[in-house]
Amino acid sequence: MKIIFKLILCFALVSSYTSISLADIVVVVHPGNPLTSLELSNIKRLFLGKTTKFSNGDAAVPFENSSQKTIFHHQITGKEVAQLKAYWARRVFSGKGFPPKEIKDSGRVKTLIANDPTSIGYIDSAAVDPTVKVIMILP
Amino acid sequence: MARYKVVTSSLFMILTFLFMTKTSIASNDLEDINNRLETIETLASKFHINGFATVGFTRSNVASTSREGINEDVKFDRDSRAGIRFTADIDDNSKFVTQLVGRGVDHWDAELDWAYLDYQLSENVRLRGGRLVLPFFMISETIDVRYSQPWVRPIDEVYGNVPFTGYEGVDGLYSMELGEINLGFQAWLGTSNGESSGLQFENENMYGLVVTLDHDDLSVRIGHHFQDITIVGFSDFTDVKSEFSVLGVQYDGSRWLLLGEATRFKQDRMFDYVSYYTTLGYRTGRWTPHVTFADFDRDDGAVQQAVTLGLRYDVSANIALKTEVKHVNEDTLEQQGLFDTAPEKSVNILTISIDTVF
Repeated sequence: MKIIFKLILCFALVSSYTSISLADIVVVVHPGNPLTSLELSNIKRLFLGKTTKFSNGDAAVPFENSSQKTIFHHQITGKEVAQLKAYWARRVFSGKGFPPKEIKDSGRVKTLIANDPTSIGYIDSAAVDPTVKVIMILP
Repeated sequence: MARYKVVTSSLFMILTFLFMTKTSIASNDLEDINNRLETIETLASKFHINGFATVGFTRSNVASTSREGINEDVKFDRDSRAGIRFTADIDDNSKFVTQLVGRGVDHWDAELDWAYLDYQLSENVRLRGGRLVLPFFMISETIDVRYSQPWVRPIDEVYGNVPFTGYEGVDGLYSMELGEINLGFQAWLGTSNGESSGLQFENENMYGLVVTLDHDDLSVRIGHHFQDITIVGFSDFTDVKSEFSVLGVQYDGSRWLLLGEATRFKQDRMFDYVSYYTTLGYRTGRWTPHVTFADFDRDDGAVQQAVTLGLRYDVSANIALKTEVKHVNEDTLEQQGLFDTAPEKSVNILTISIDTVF
């Protein structure tokens, strides 16, 4: 019983520690984008290729961020990386479309988004600056 | 002293000159490299190459051969296959797609499964023409991409019933978004000639309609298809009018996975049949254990039911290792089911495979 209690305590400590130490991920768009917020379902649909538009009807081009991809999809689409790969395999090999272009890290995603009014991506909150606009902080 | 100065200054000038020419060459080179990279990038963005492969081995505990081609002999060619797909953008609205697939069971002779022109007519309408894959089932178009499926192979009681898979023709796809629902219509028309299990098919007047409803992780698909089937050399099997109805459901949640498809095949001379399966899986980390119940029931009395237990392990984001046991209970077999001869006992088929996509 004591061991179990200790284990639970250990686990609680570790999990609280990781939640503090992990930097937040934010969803960002071009500063000229008129949207100020976006529904989670719209972001999910954009990153799964089910829509190509923002909720206001404007064209949207999503970009994946390799360095944050696992956590982002875990939170937003509810899919693990392998499951996501299988999902896209079904779409690619049936001609329904290709996954969003994958960019190496937050810095590069930010540069891309700062230069493309239709783009949407997600970056490490530490990388945020006025060249991009935050429209969602990941829960 | 003065002489020394002249020497140093001229040396300095020469070095500066050399350095400058050097840097100007370097910047020219860089520009050139940049231009070339840009050209390569533009070209690369016009082409997509995607591939998939499976290697597997399988055997059962009986001498009778199942319809999947499995018996007590260890076989490596049943599930092994590899495919490559090329998508070339012609312009903003049209592209050409080709897909080559080589299968172990066909001695790895590469077949052109897809070769079609895809034209985006408007925001909602796409037209395709050429060599296409018959859209009979929910997974028809990706039936060889085993990585995209939970099982080692598509459930034979349902997916093994149609021996022809491709057609020459056209289809139109209409898709729309109703809030968070994606609604899709696919109408197709064509003919299908091909060889399967040593039989030559020449099918005509083939057409059908598929309606797909997709909301979040749930997708429902209904299809109805017509065709006149001809098996060359069999006068009884010439222009056999047939209808095929299919209902498919898929739920691909973060934890639970539910897949199912039910089919009914009606024809005016051969035997009718109904078939269905349901798969339930649960993802936990890299592991996905799953269970499937499948049923095949033909008018002439042939019945086969199977229970499949499987485990998928995602080694990485591109590789899956799978193992599966399919059990066909002797008591649920009527006539010989889908075996070439009636098995002498209950059948267990073991398969281990590795799938990849790239």
